[in-house]
Amino acid sequence: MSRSRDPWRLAFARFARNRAAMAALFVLVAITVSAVAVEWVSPHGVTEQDLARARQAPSWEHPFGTDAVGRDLLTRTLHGGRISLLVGVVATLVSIVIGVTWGLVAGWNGGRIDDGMMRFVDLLYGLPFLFFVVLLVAWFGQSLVLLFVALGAVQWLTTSRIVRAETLRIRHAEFVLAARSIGVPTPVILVRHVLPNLLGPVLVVATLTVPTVMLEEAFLSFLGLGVQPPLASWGSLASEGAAAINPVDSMWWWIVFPGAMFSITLLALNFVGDGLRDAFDPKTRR
Amino acid sequence: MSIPAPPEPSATTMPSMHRILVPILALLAAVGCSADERPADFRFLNTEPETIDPGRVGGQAGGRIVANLFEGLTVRVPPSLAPGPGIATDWWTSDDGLTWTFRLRSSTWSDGTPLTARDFVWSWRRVLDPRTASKSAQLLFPVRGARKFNAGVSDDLGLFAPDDTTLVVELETPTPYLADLAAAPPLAPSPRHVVEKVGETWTRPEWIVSNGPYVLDDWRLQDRMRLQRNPRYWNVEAIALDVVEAVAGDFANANFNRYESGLIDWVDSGGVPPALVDALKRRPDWHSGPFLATYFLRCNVERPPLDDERVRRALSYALDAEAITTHVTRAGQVPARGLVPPGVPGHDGIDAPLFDVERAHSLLAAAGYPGGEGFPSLTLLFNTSEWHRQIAEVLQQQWREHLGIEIELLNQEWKVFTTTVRARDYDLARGSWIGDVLDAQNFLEIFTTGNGNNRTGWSSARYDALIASASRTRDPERRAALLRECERMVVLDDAIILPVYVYSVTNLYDDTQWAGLEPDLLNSLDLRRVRPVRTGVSR
Amino acid sequence: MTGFVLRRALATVPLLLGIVVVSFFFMRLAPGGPFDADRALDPQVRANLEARYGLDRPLVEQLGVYVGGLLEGDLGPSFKYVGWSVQEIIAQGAPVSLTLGAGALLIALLVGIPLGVIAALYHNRWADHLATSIALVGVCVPNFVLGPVLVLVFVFGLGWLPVGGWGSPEQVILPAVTLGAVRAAYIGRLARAGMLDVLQQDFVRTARAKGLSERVVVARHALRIAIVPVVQYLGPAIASILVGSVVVERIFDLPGLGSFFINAALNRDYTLAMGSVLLYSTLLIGLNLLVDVLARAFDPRTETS
Repeated sequence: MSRSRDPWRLAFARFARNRAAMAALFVLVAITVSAVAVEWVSPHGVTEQDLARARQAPSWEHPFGTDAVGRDLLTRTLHGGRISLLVGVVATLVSIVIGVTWGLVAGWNGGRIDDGMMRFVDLLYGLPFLFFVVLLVAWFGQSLVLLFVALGAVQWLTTSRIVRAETLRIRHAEFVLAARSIGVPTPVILVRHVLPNLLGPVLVVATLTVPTVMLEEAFLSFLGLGVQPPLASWGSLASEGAAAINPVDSMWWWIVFPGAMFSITLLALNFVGDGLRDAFDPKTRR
Repeated sequence: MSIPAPPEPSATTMPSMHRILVPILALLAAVGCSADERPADFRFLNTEPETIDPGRVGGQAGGRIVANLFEGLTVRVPPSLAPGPGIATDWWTSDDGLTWTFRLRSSTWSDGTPLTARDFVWSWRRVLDPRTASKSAQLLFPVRGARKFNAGVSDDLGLFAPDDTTLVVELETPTPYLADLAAAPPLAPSPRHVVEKVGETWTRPEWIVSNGPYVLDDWRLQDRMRLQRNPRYWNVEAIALDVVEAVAGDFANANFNRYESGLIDWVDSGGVPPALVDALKRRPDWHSGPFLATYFLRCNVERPPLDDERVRRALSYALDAEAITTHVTRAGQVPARGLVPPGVPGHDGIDAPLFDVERAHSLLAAAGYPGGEGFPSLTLLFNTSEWHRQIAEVLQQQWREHLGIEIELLNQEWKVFTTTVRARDYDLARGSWIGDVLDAQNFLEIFTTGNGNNRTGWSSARYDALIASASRTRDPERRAALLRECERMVVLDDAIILPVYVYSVTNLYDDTQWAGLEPDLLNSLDLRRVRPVRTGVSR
Repeated sequence: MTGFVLRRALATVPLLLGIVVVSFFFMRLAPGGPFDADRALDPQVRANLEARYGLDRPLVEQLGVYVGGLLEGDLGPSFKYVGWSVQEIIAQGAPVSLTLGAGALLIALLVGIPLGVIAALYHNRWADHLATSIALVGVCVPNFVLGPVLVLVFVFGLGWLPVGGWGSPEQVILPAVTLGAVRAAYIGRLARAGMLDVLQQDFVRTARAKGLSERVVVARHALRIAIVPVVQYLGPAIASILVGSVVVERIFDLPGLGSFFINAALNRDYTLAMGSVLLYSTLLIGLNLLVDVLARAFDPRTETS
């Protein structure tokens, strides 16, 4: 049991020494906590309209300015972060579940099943899944659950490849061969030996999938297909911001602030993901 | 006289060689596109139309193009938009009002073929022909036999051309607004000789033939349509602009930006971003006026508590339309004082105060919900749009404040929204009506029993009778009184709709540069009247 | 090589067919049809419309008609743009999108590769840090944020570039930059990593030891090998340019394929939406194949996906 813990402690120690990754982690946690807590902490209500104060530039009272109906943009941006992060995490989870299952089955069985399954993955690799998601969301309604599932289903391919490779490797490891030879049932082997070893790579791929999914959700919301009002996400806020740019009265804060917060979050996620990858597999050169 | 079926709509009628050439040519065209083209004299914003075939046209975007490419029997003369001579020089009705006769001038199509009354008969039949599947067929239902013809069960239609220059129209009921209707784009003539030869693609630049002030020179989808002065137009001397472009664009902000940088000369509300309305209102290039359309909420009268008209009236009286037009829409919209917009000839409207909080309170209390207590939660449905959402949020706020009730908001994508409303699966739904003709009946008749645009579940035999009487009355005063009574029923007594505001026409253009663009009730853009303002220089 | 290409091509035919069938039923299952509008259509008129487009026939028959048409290059009539067939609409929109995509790819390569190479050559000095930071920003700023910001700065701020529309070369610049920037960043990172990798290898040290100038070393030997990861990335790069073009066309209101596709999705213009998706899928599958072939040609050691 303790054997499978050591690599973990090592990995996390390595991560902790990576200053950039730690800083990014801190930023990420700060943003997430703000996004969750904003409802209770902000002096402005999330839906509090004040038509007289609409479209104001950033000020002390409204550091991000106000939107078209007078809502505080900082509050709204943080609140929007909730949805973006939620979709990112849940859809990633969906993709992990599908990818792990697929890769596990392929890698464990090997031979023709593996061949067939991975050939299928190869085939799907080139498809513009996102366009199917566009159609799906446009025509079957824009529920959040649909978004989770659809976006998650787009991303599982990479995960399955990584999991399959790892599973293949582990399958041939000595302790596994030993366990099989003494008749340990397959599910037990999978749970006790294979899965723990997968967690590392899966964690890395998950952390790097979240920003991809968030970008996709923002893409959909930007086009008006993803999150619907009154819910807002960073993508839909960016859409409002982009639509407002004009020479007479460009409300630049509508695009700059939500855009910046989104970008910073993506940056942080990328750093943390890279950090995790380095931590678990220091052979990769940078 | 029956029309042979139009050629199969499934594939293009071009031979297969063209299928390869077209993409290559398109590529070359895209690359060398505006290189040697003469710049247009005037460019205006116009959403990409669905079609510019008069036999099938249905929306405003298509209508604007059709109105400038084709000319019907009559034309709507600004500023009042009263019907004036077009292809028809004059017209008269029989004593019982059931037969109209139009006398036509002699004129030709842009390819020289003579235009006769038979063209009008053929074109109007085509609109009603079930195989054309025109969305505007309903406009011609007053014609005798039209409904049956459109259903495909009869071939008999009250349209005749005794000779080349006379058109006779027989009607089911007297239709006082027929002269105005004759100016509507779907009633413009289509060139039979081209349509029958080419089929569905006849409106392309390489085939199209028209009879109006302009012909279509070039068409790039979602980009622009280029119109060229028609030298064979009967009134060609009156046209000032040689080449005009209709520029397509879907986004108000982008369109406005192009207007500001001088790429477009005239925009309508499609080029006025709501956020900028306040700043733009004060500019000299801002021009606005009322539009023939009303924004209202439909009540589903089959759903409690909305089945109680006191509840509906309470909601109506607690609705402060002025606050909405002043603070939310702010672009010159006028709070609606009824269903029919002001300015419709022959209609005075009900002119009753529609915002009265006291009355709202007492009505709600009388219905059993004093102060809003115990009032169930209702949902206000609207189609996805920032504009509608802002209005919905304000309404929610108003009812919360004035009546103490909670309304939930729900938005759906356009197609889903229309399906839901049609299925009457809503409590309150956002709605609107744009008039087809300048007549109050066009607005009021949609609430007769069984009318597809009713969608409230409301049905009143008395209302139906009133409308029927109004259709048959020849005396304009009595007719006006009947229609006023109808409006009272729909808005005040039964409150099946809650009027919010009358749409406004908002246009941006430089009036020191262009004349003839004054906004009218239909927001038409009559290129015949548009001319550059040049002191001392005449064209 | 030919065997490889043939095998891949053969595998994609059933895939495309599968896409067609899936999309077809997908579309028919979706609520709301192409003829739902605010105006209630008289039921007779609606019935006429549906008959005209063959919507009243059994589903399987409709599918058969559609597939039959596909084999002749006919993608069906558009429901929204009456009188236009889908292939004609695609023919109008494709050049715009292709020009945009090509411009974006060009920018991605012309900016990304030098960026990466310079960063590698000045490894760990300020130029490297600067280049890496730029690349990092490029990766994390989505194109729908970058685009409007560029417009704010270059169109309304400095007034150097036109605001929109399509037709002249200046109008391509901002959209192409917006679309290409993210790819440039990725390519920069790949080029840098590839270059760093190569610069430490034996044959490079040998070349240096022989006394060849740095520039020759870089240009002739290292670059060719360092480019391989970039070439491998071309497939995904083009794919993401294709996807990203939809948003960029939306931001700059360009009459390209992406705009048509989104509008078709929103308007339930079934045939146009389906035709667009088919086109994109075919393009991407073809491009992936092409890129794999190229990568193999460049360096037979590479393992193709």
